[in-house]
Amino acid sequence: MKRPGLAFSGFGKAFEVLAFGLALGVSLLAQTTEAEARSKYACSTLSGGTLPVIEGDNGTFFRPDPDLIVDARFPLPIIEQIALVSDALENRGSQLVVVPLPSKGMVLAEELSAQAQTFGFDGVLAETLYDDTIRRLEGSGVAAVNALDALRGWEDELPMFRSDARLTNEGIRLLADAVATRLGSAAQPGRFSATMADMVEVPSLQHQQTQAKCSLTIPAPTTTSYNTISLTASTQGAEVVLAGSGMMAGEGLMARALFATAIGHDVRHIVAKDAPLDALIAAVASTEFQIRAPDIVVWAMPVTDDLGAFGTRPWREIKGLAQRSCRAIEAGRVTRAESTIDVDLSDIALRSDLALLLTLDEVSAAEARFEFGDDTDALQRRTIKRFGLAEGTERFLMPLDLWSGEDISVARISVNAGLGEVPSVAICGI
Amino acid sequence: MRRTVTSLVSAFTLFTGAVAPAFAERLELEFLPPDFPPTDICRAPAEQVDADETRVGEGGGDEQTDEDIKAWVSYLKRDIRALTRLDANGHLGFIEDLIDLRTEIDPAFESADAAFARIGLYIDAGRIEEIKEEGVIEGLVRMSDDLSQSERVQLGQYFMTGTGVERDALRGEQMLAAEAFKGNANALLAILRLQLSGAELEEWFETPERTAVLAFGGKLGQLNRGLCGRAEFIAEAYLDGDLLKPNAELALAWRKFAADQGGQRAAWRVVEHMLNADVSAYSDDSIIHYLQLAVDDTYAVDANDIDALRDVGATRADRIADVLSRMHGHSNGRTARPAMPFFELDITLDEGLEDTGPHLTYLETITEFNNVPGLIWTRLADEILLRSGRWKGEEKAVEALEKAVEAGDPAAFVKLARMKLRDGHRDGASSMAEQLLLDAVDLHGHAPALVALDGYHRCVGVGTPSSRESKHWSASVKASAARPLSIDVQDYENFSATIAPEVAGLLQSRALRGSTTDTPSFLRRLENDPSVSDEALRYWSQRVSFSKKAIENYAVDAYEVAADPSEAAVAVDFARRVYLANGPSMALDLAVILVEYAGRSPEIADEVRQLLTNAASRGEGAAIRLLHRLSGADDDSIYQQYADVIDQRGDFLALMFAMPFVDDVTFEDYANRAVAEMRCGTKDVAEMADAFAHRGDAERALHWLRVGLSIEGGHSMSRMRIALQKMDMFDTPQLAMVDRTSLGGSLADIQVAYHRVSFLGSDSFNRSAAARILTEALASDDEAVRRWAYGAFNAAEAGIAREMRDMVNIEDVLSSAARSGLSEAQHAYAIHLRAKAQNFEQLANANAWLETAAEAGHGQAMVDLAYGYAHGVGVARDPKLALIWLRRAEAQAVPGAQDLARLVLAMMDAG
Repeated sequence: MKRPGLAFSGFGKAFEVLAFGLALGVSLLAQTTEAEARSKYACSTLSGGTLPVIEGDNGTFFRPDPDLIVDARFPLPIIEQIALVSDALENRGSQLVVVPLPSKGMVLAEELSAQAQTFGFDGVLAETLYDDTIRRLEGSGVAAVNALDALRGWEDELPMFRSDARLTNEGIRLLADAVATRLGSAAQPGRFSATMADMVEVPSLQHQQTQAKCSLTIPAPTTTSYNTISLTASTQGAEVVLAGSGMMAGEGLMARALFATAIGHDVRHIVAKDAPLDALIAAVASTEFQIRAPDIVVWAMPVTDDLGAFGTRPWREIKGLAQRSCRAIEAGRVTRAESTIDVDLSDIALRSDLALLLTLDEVSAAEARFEFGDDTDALQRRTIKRFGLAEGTERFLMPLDLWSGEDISVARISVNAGLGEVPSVAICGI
Repeated sequence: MRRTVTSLVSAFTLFTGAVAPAFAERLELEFLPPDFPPTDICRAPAEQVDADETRVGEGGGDEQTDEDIKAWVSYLKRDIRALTRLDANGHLGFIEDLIDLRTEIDPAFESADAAFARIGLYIDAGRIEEIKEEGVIEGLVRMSDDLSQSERVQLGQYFMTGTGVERDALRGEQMLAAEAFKGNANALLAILRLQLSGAELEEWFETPERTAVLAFGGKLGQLNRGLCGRAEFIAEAYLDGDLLKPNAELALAWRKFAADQGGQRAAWRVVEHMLNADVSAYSDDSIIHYLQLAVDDTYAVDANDIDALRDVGATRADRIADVLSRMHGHSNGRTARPAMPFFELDITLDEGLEDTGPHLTYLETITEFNNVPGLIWTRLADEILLRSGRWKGEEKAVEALEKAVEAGDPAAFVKLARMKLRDGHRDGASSMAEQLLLDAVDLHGHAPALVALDGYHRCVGVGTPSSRESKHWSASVKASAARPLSIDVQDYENFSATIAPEVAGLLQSRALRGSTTDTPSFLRRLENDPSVSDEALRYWSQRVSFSKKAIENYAVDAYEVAADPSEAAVAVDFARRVYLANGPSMALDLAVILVEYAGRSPEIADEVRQLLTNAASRGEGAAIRLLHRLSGADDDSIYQQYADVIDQRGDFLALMFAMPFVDDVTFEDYANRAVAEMRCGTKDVAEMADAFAHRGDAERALHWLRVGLSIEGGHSMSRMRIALQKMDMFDTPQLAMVDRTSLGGSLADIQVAYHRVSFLGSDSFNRSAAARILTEALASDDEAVRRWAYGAFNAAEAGIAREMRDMVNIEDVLSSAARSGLSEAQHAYAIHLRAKAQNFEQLANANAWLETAAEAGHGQAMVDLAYGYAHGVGVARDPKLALIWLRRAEAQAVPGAQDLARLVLAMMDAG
């Protein structure tokens, strides 16, 4: 045994130990006070652990990052990019509605404890920045929904779970109503009906992990479920795509049904967990979009996300895919091998407003590599990687202005999955 | 137990019917330490270690010393924690290997401990169901006799919460109560926590007060070597506010008790407390008493273990005492509420220059495991570079970084790119560097790589300066979370309201996400917010002290913003503490602070020389240059003295210092190294131009001058350098230039001279000369010169302004000029008054001058005035009036006016 006699061995030793402390002259005066609450659920090592959270009021738990992030604001260049995407979609007949999702600290501000201030959280400042973002989006011609105002309209059920970072069905319903209001006549509420059914418990890893640090049972992530029915036999209606992060997704959450009910049209829900930009890319890169652009694209993303971390390339890709202003490259310039496609670019005047579009044939991939080079060497590689999507995408669009000016005559394209039977490459304006 | 939990299942443990507890309180417990004569019990020989001590035990094999084992255990704890936070599920196997390694080397960490560590890991990895499926917790119950007290308590809590086992709250409570009846202090504390949460317990009938008495009395335990660690636990309980109402005095009492029993860390905490208090609060004898307890001839305080202290030898202990002996007696109260008293810093004087060490050995060992995470490879590369030197160790470091890149550590892409640049354009090294940065962006969305790409195309890439690419990446940076956030430390003084909301929001967010530059800035902001709690200052002080770089930034800023000699003295003391904590990496900063603070004192001069020698031996060029100036020796002899150091580990400035003395081949090599090390800013670019100019290579000198001009906005520094080059062909002695300007000259001449010596951080920086030029300009007969000087004074670095105040009565000068009707002077005077205002009336006076300047058409005065109206600073809050002024400023395209107007509108809408 490496640890002989580690444990105390019974009452005798215990009181011997205590007696030592008291015999030393320890002075004790204990009284309970009405000092501020620390943990109502006997939680310990919450904020200092490997998955830090802080306990608010009534069993509401907040992660410092991102729930207490104050920077609830898109920088101006991102707003400009969103405006460009909105214009591109509008040219295809799609109306973009942007829904920046406020942080949990902002939405459930009344449930925050004083400990939130320790982390520097300032709800008034965050709200000022958030409102400014909405104003700037609208000022740039982008239809934007103030989700913070919408979520504050809750009545019987909180819009976000107490022990999970996602929206409840009530929160989703409130957002859907706000989007419908913003759409105005484009929405046709009344074509579907959603009636409240039972409360359901949503599987939640965050809840489990927090519970593991608390001796008393913390509130379970429960939400109202709904029964939805179509009130009309007509299948005519607008097409709506709802693209976003995982904040509205998961077993028990009914984003698709609740948005359909509020807007009055069928909804296709695309989720890219933790990567809302990729959800929008998946929407515009889909074959459905390329054949017929949906009438409405609702894009919801946490306002605290860094939408510029991948540079401007993803934004240019969205714009290019939305514009769909492409022409096929002649067959003679495209050489197909088993896992690669070589494109002869020697006679193409490469400009910053051009891009290469790879379209896979009835398969999807999560990653595409574009290696640009001259006759002998690959000079530079750019990679498009999809995050958080279940299946990747069928299309990848790479702008042609991002290398250092060498003479580029060949592009070799490969993907992490199969190319399909007849993949194609086109050159597009962006 | 190895791989106890293996199967892959995704399911969830569900609880229903949450019970909202009725209340939760913290106990006000006045629990004083015993009046017990001082002993050295906490320094008892290891043989007397008691069973309940939480420390690394004896033994540990033939190859490693106890010291190494302790160090390894601390590294293992750090890496297990870091990797769990990063991606517990993705790195599960590797983390389990680390847990196994700890089991092998740490005698106090047994298989049961490893099982609990694994349970925690699986919880964090989201694989809780697997714990249940494997029956791990029931298995641990069966071997409960072999478990520690805290582990048995943990088991009870698993049953109470249903974590990894069917929930059985009563069984859990019974397990806790059984342990509590045995006197298990951890169980008693768990029960106390439940009681304070309002839980009604079926198995425990004592009151919370009685439970607390039993818990803390039991915690104190027996008179043995672990006593001081347990006393420290009680002290912490009085500070962290988890169970007890915070009481700093009782915490201090427990630390004094521990110190008197031989606890050296506790003694150091007491010394820190006394040093942070007002000068009259504690006698010198009292401080020296605890200082002697903290530092004796065999031990210094160690950061990693409360009880076991590291032997650092008599020489170092003497140095600690020597440094500390100069720390006391300066403080005379302060006007702000600095966070310095909340820092808890240790003493570590690890030189870090040996070729090997336990950290390196540890990293080399764990990189032999399977599926090594990129983060670990990057740590290995960093350690190699630290130990061997950035040039001597580069080959091995590159190998490690290549593995890190392969394993997907985003930071490694940027580090490796920088190292590739060291080969210049040979063999496509520059293109490889660019490819790495592109991959970091494309594959990982790593925003710092955007910044690196921006710098690459502006300064070092093929075809630089390339406006097209640099414009592209510069725009990308501005769209990302890595966008520039420029805050002058002076912004925090007096009026936190002057920080724009978008800057304040971004600052908090970056601090929360661990930025080493923004976390100390955020702490400084909190210091100037009277509503901020002690808890917040304590929390952010800890966050700052997590990073050597962050705490050094904070210490330098603290001195920079010191408003009077008393605050400067406190800041100097703090900088010394940081030096003791961080070691040589702080030496240069401390030396610079000491030179400014009391450079004329012979005693300080010796200390500065010692600090600079220390920093110079690590290849820090700024220290080598300062030593050169201080010693008065010719530069060649200084170079000869440090030639080997520079060759093995010289930083950018060290290489620049060396370049005039090396042969052509080495010059080219050093130039490439310098490119890899440089920051793409005007300062380093100008250094490069000078180096080539000195070598007589006009073509490359002009190339670097063009690069400087291409830096966004065509920075004034570069433009002036061009002007200088025309005048003097690269060979204008700095002081002669200053003297010539002082004798009279055009505004352009004065501006050139001033900018050369006022550019903080540049080699030509000369605070006294800058102060002299500006003071003379303020008194110039030429109105154009005076107008420029008022604006320059407003923007002057704090030290320059301080020196000017020593030369002339600034207030009189500004007041007189303001009354003469110059709007620049009125604005400068208003800003001066606002900075020193202590009450509303003084603020109002400052605002009146701002209004006068604004009325006269001064654009920046309009914006500053609008700030006042927007936030009610010195005037009644009036957002509409703020908007009117901002519209006028916008018409003049005054920077910041438009953004502020938008935010004022938003604030108005928000009510």
